[in-house]
Amino acid sequence: MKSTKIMSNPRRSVMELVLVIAATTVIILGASNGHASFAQANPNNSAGVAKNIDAGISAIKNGDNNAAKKSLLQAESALEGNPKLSTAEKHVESSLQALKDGDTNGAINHAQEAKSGLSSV
Amino acid sequence: MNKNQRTTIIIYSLSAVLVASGIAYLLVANGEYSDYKDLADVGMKGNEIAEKQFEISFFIVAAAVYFGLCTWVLKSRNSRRRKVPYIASIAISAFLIVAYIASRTVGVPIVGVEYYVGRLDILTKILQGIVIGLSCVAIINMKKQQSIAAENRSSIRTNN
Repeated sequence: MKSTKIMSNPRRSVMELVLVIAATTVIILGASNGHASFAQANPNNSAGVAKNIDAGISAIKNGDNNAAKKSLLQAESALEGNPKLSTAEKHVESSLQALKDGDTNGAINHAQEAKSGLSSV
Repeated sequence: MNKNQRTTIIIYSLSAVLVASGIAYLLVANGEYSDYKDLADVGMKGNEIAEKQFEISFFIVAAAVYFGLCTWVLKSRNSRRRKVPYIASIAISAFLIVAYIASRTVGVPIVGVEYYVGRLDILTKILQGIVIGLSCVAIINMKKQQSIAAENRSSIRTNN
């Protein structure tokens, strides 16, 4: 019965198909850009990340590696999905790796690089 | 020390270095896995997680390849095509060194550019350099042995 209905009204079925494709495209594009647009639409996001990085640097200097790791992970999480800040994200990642290696100077240097990467955007 | 003894020493040394490289890659994969868990705990999704999954798989495959090369080198000691595992060891190690340099300079697909050079990274590169060196020495040694054997055969023929 259904097939005969569709067959009897081909224009309507084409319109429905176009609508479904358009809706699917909008949903896919929205989902894939959602993260990036969140970071770009939040001017306070950079300030929050900078705070996290600062907290990480001072924790490293105080010898509290766990707190430093937490702060830097939060910074990395906030930076994810923003292609403009990918360099800063990579420096945060490097800082975490240096921290894991016990290279505190390297960790501080990379964290500072990440912070300067934030301000340059 | 004769040529045969030297070749045996080279083969066993190379096998040991290949196993050490495999273990080093497993340690790198383990480090990446702990990073992956940390990122997942923070609630991170998307590119970063996919990148970590790729890195973990890549390092596990690299470790498996090194263990496989070790087995191949040991098994092909007396075979006709015994140079092939050494050539493969050189090619794979050279590829991994070039890929590492690219990842720290121009960037590689999926991972992009990395800025940190870790201790394990340096260790694996040193081991890969040794693998290349020992494989080259082994190939040169085999060529010398072949030429000596050919000379012996021709001298036996002329004497007869």
